[in-house]
Amino acid sequence: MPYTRVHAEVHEYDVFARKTRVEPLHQVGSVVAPDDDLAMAYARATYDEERWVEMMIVPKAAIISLWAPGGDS
Amino acid sequence: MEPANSGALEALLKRGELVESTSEMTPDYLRELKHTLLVSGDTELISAPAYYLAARKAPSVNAFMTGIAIIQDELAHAHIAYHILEELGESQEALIFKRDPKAFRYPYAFDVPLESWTELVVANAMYDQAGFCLLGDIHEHGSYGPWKRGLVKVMAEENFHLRNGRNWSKRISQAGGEAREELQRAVDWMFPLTVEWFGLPDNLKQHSTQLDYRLKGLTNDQLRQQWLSTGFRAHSMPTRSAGTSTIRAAGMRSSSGGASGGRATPRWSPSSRRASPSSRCAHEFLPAFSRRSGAPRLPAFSRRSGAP
Repeated sequence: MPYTRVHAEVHEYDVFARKTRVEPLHQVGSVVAPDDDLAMAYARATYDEERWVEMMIVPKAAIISLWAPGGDS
Repeated sequence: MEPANSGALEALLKRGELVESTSEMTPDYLRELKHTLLVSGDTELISAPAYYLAARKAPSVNAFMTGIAIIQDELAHAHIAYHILEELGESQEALIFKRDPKAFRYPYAFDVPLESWTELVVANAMYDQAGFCLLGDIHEHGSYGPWKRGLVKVMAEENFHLRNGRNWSKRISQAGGEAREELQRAVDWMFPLTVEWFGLPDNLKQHSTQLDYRLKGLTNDQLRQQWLSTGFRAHSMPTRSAGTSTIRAAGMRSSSGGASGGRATPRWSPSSRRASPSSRCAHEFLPAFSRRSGAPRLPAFSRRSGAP
């Protein structure tokens, strides 16, 4: 049987976390998943290198970029 | 989006700044970056089944869980490299599941099966140390921002793999007897294969685009020397006995005084960084990733005859 992707439509999420209360959240990576629940599971399993005090994911589609390196500013 | 001209990219690199988007890259930079990421992703991915075969021989449940945790790390590291490649326009699905197994690029060492817990921990101490040197260089000097940031996690976890390798090697060495002899045999055949991870000696390289683009900061010889110093002197690994030895592995012959004897001067086969057509990985592991009909399950096999 040829390989087919389980889900035809997936979304990209950025993963943010911080190790201590005094530091700000920072981006630690990203995951691709078909829905929020799986994205949370992937983020938890993939970025488990620290004992984070906080972790959150944000759909990339929800991020509004004002400017970025390499873009028009 | 128009690619940056080479002058703008060169100026950005000279200022020590990071490249953040494809609009800042030249086609040459993008090609070199993708190639470097692919070798990294493939190496991390293929280490997982290689380590799994040996992890099954773990002496305790705790040790087995450590082995499985290391394998999970390696898969996550592969994911990071492939995911960045996806952001650069490649298909992660195609790279992992649809590529010809012989097109995967990883060090020859992973074509030689690891068959015992002892071999796994020596691989942690040697192979992971080599990966630590190579990726640490990219983490420290690399010019591509997303990869540099992604490597924070990788470096933290590779450190854990090294500790597992060093602690167990020390423990096995101190046990003495047959256990120590087995450890020495593993060091003997894995040492030259790990030297191969660092590629051509500098005097045989014409030019390094990777250095020009600051995709890495140190030359092959510098990285190899770093591995020799950090991998062997810092802990109580048994090392090859001093004196000249002829090593026939990975398509090379080397006169080497071993780890304690200083600089190795190997001659390299240009094909040594590709999956050998006869390799078990190319024929058995990698096709298992593919979900074509009749794809084999991960096999249990013995080291092929003729391997060091």
